Amino acid sequence: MSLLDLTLSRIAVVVYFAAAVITGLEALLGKARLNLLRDLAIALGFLIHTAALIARTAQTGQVPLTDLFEYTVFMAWALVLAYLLFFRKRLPAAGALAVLIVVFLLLGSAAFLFYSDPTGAMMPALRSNWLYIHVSLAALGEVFFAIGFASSLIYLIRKRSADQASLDALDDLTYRAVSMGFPLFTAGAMVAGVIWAKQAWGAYWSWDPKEVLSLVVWLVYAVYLHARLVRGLRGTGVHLISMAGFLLTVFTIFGTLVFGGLHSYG
Amino acid sequence: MLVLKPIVNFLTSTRVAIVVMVVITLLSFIGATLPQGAADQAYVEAYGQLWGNLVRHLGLTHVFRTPYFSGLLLLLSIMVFSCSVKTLPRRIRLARRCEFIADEKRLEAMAAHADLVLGVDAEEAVLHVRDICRRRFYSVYREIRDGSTLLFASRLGFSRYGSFMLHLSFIFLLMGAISSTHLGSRHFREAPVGDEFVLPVSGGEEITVMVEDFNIEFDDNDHISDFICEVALVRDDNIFMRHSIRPNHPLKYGGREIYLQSYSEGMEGLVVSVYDSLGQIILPHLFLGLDDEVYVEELEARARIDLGLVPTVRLRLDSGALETYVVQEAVERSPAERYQFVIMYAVPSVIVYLEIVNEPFQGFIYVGLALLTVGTFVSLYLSHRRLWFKVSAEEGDRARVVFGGRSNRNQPGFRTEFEAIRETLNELA
Repeated sequence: MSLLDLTLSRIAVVVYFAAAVITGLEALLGKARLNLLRDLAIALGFLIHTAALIARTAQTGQVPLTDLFEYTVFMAWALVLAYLLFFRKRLPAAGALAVLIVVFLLLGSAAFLFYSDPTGAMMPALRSNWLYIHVSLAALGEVFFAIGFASSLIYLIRKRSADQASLDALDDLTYRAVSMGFPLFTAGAMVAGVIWAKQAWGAYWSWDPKEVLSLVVWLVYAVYLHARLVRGLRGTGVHLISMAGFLLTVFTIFGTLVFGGLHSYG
Repeated sequence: MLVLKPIVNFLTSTRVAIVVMVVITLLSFIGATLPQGAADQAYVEAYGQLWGNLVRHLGLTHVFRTPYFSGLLLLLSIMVFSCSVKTLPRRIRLARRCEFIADEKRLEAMAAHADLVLGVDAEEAVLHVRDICRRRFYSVYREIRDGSTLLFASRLGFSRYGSFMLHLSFIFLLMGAISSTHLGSRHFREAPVGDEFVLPVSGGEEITVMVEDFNIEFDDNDHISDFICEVALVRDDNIFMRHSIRPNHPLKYGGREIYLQSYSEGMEGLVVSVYDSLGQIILPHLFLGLDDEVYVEELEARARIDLGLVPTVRLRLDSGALETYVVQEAVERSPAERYQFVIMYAVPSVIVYLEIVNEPFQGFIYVGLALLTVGTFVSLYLSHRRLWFKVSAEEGDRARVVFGGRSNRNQPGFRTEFEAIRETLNELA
């Protein structure tokens, strides 16, 4: 059994850790010159991470979204991609650090705790195109929630020290991230999940632990958007909701380890 | 009205809605983590006498089917509906209102506003404004008041209905959930290959489902990639439909859905197919347990022995090969006489586990999901943008245009568009 995917994933973890250290120094010392080094480290980590995903795909012969290892590797990869494409210039160094810590924890847990045999069996029930729609969209939604979490965290840390303009920028960033993640999560976790559940299990909704937790995540972000859009609320309250939403998201991803249920293969 | 007001306030209160949602969430957590539907004694054994009985008495052994859980879902549906009804008139008014503003102070008070003098006459300025707005897909309305031309441009007014769509989606999904829980049914059926069972379908009709065959497919790594159950639907002794049930591919017929949930091997027995002497299949697959004895009179109706046809038995062997045996020597062609033959060969058989589902009003769910998707997109990404212009004639064949605008979402995007409109008009200055 080739362990190329695992080896590359572990190397990527180390490179992201180095990038996080550089970013931490940049945030602590306020040295903007370090940002080039940080971007280079993240880009290098991303390339190795991409190679790990390609190796896994080659080993399994399918898109790597079928179990907890593949899901967390994919989610960490998509988080780095989203950061590089949409948020690299908008997030301050402290925000980038928060994103890198999430990436490090996700990929680290995958590479050191949840590795699965690439030649292992894939359940017949998972052999459906809905798998790719359901899982990839849900993961992408969660990626944007992670970005929202990072900017909310920085907002709350800097609330007393930063000027109003930079706080407003962080507030907008959180909203932008959640408003990108919410439709993806709705389409993937809720809509595609419900349709596929009916097709595979005969029930749209089975009150499975992961289903219930996903619904709670959806409701928390719905409350965030309601507060932000309809009530026009800004500030600490909505950022706490955004952070609670992502912490629940993490609990949802790993909750199957505790609760089991229909989603326990992933 | 005095009585209704507190009720309406209660039903449209965000705080009450949040409390109801929190209670539903807590109950869902309990239902998702506590084993549901087990025997009462199992809870006592697992949690002790006190807690086991408490769990049982509170209905936590079947949370999602309790009246209070359904009641909470119903209350939430009514609350969402009430909120939608309460806010709908305002949404309609905002989406459809055509409002002209002549007061320049009101225009200047808007976050986006401009005041330009153009080098064209007023009539030409009006035409320019209208064209610019229409090119950007605004609907433009015009009115002349006190010698000035007032224009109102509006785009994507229907986006005001985004959150209404979300509310509606919630109602449809909850109605679907409640109707499927209380009006639908689901039950499991173990069926050995070769077995058959009666299935009541819509319209009071009954059909027979024959489990004809079962196959397992393997991938390159020798892992199971698929399992397939072949079934035939029989009405009045005629097979009218055949279907392969696989994971993700249920059989749907007559308001019923049959899902292949699992299978198991190990039950020893014999699968036989009975053909007549002309090679016509009479009984495709019949599972016979090791100790079963099959009497000729039982086969008689199907094998039509009384018509003088010679039935044969086809045996499915371990190797998968089929061997055919003529059983005519065991059969006398007298329907009155009772003969039997005893099974001589035994092979492991397969039992398939089928789930038979009757879920009425599924349309609610699909409408709810469609509204949820569209409503989320409309609510977050489409904004209702409105522009108000006042065009008046100035000395020397020139025109003064005072205008302002508002958007309910995406303010940066709106400001960019407003600036672009201002720049385009300024070219005529």
